[in-house]
Amino acid sequence: MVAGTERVGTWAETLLTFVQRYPGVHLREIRRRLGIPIGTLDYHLYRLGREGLVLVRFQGGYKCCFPAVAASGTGPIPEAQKTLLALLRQPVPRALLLHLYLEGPSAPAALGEALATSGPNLSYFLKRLEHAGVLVREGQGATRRVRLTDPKQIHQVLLEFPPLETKPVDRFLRFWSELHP
Amino acid sequence: MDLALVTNIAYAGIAAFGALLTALGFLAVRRAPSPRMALVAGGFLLITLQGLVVGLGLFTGGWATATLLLVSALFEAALLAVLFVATLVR
Repeated sequence: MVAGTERVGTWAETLLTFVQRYPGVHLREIRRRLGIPIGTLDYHLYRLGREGLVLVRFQGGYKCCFPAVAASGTGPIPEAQKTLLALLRQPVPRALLLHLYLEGPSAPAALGEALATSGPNLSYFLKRLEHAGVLVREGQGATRRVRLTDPKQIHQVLLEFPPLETKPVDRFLRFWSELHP
Repeated sequence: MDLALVTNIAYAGIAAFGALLTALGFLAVRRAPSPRMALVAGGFLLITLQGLVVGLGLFTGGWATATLLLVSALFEAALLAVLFVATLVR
C-alpha cells in the first residue's frame, strides 16, 4: 500500500515537473519520454487537472498539456503563446517556424527544399499553421511568399521555453550553438 | 608507479573520448550545418589526432620526449586557434 502510494506520487510529480519544463507537450510525447502507460498518464493528467495544476487542450489533433502557472512564476501562459508552444513541440511545424524565423519570408518551394519534405506534406502543415494564425501566405505564382505573423512572439517563446531534447546530438548542437563570446 | 604507462593510458583515453565527441560533432554538422559547428567538430578531431599521434609515439618509444612535447604543443596551438575562430563565427 505504501509502495503503491509512493509510486503514484512519483508519477504525478514527474509528470508535473515535465509539463512545467516543457509546456505544450502532447500526451503521446509524454508517454514516449517518461515511459508512463497511457492509461496511467491519462489518469494523472485528469487528477492534476482537477487540482488545477495542469491544463489540457486539444490542438491540431493533439492533446497538449500546459502548467497552470509558468515555471518562471510569472503566472499563466498567455493563449497566443500556448498555441505557438503546442506547434513548436511538433517536429515539422517547429522546423518550419524556425526556418521562417531565422531566414525571414520564404517561397513555399524554398521551404520544401530546406525541410526536405514533399509538396503535399508542406501544404498540409502550412494550412494548419495559417489556420492557427502564426503565419500568412501572400502573393500569387512566382511571387508567393510565406511569412510569420509575429516573429517577436516566436523569439520570446524560444527564449523562455526550452525545446524538447531528443538525442545527445541535439544537446551537443544546442550547447555549442548557444555559446557566445 | 610506471609513469610511461599512465601517460600512455591517458593519451589513449584522450583519443577515445575525442573520437566520441568528434563523431557527435560531425553528426551535429550534418543535422544543422554551420561554420561554428564545423569548427567545433574540427577542434575535437584535433584532440583525437593528438591523442592518437602522441599515444602512438609514446607506445612505440621511437620519439624523444622533446619531440612528443613539440607535437603535443602544435596540436594544442591549432586547437586554440580553431576554438578562437569558432567563438567569432555563428
